[in-house]
Amino acid sequence: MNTLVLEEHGEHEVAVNVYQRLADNRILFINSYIDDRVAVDITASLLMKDIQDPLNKISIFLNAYGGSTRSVFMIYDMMKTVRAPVEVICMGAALNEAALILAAGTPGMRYATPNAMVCLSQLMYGGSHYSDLSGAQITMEQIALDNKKFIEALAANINKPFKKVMEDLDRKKYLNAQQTKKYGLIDGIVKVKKK
Amino acid sequence: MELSKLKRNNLHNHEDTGEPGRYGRTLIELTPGRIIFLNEPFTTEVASAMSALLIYYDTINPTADISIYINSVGGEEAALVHIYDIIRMISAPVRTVCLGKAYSAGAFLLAAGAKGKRYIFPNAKVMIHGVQCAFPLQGEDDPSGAQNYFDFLKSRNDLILKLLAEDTGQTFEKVKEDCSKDVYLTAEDAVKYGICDAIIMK
Repeated sequence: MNTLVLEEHGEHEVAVNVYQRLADNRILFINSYIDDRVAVDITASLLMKDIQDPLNKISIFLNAYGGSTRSVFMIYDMMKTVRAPVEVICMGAALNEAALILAAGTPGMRYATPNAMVCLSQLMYGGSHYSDLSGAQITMEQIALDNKKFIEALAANINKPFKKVMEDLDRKKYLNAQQTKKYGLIDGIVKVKKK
Repeated sequence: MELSKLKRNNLHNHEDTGEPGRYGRTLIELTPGRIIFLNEPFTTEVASAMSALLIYYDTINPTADISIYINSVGGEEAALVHIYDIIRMISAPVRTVCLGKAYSAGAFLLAAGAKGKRYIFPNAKVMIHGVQCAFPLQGEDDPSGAQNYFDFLKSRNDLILKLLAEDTGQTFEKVKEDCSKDVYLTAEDAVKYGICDAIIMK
């Protein structure tokens, strides 16, 4: 789909990318699988907006179907570091790893649209690995460590004990907006107009 | 309306890939007219771009109409629900226009436009049905995991049918029964069913 829009600047008409244009208004979009390319865009924008104005909120519109572990932690760490409050609005879906980004918004500023869905799970591991057995052992330990860190971060942001969250996520947990709010991932549901 | 402009530029895109065709620049020239073209399968990636555009037009002017022109074979239920929420979240009214075809999720999107602002061209076609899924269910390797996912799919199916019932003014039971198979509707049938409000006449 075309994401270029035409804007008038004085006498000239300029085609600008709609994401770039919204970022100028402190609105950031995460709307694909969160890989390193997405993560570096978001972290750089967060840093930039924080330098420009540390008192105004930065909004993240989230619609992500998972992400790679390191990229998600990269965004998570930056969200927790900037001084500006970070508002997160989940529209569409926040699945698996991406749910951490939703939970990591500034408390009181985490929202979802009424029909959004969230899926909580432990870390996904879809990579293939080729090494000797001791190498495989090390990789497995690292994955377990990442998983523990992920659940810890999630638990800290939804004010639940680590053990409880670990048990809950034994199986994938599909939540609608109401259930997400009840589980503590978000603080409110976006108000929409009636038809 | 920007229709005269449309005709003059003879706009068409490659049907399935969404790649800009020979007149790709025209799509950009239409943007000051607040027109979004859905001319490809309605996937989650497309929904993401569309939501950004809707929010952008809303920030520029929250009172003027935004138009979505639909010519789509349908797509994913997640994309549909995503855009549905955005349409109701922004304050600008969203006008939907069906040209060519609006099948499956495309038809649901057509129905989701603002009441009284949903249009269809005389020879366009609409098709509605419920959520489709393929086996084996993606990413689930054991029966209870698959059952878990299947239950979730069923709840999502009920959700979009409920939304369609609200939009069309039909009862949920009727919509559910109709959507158990593919139902093709002509422009007149679509207006009668309540998916759109008027046929565009010269």
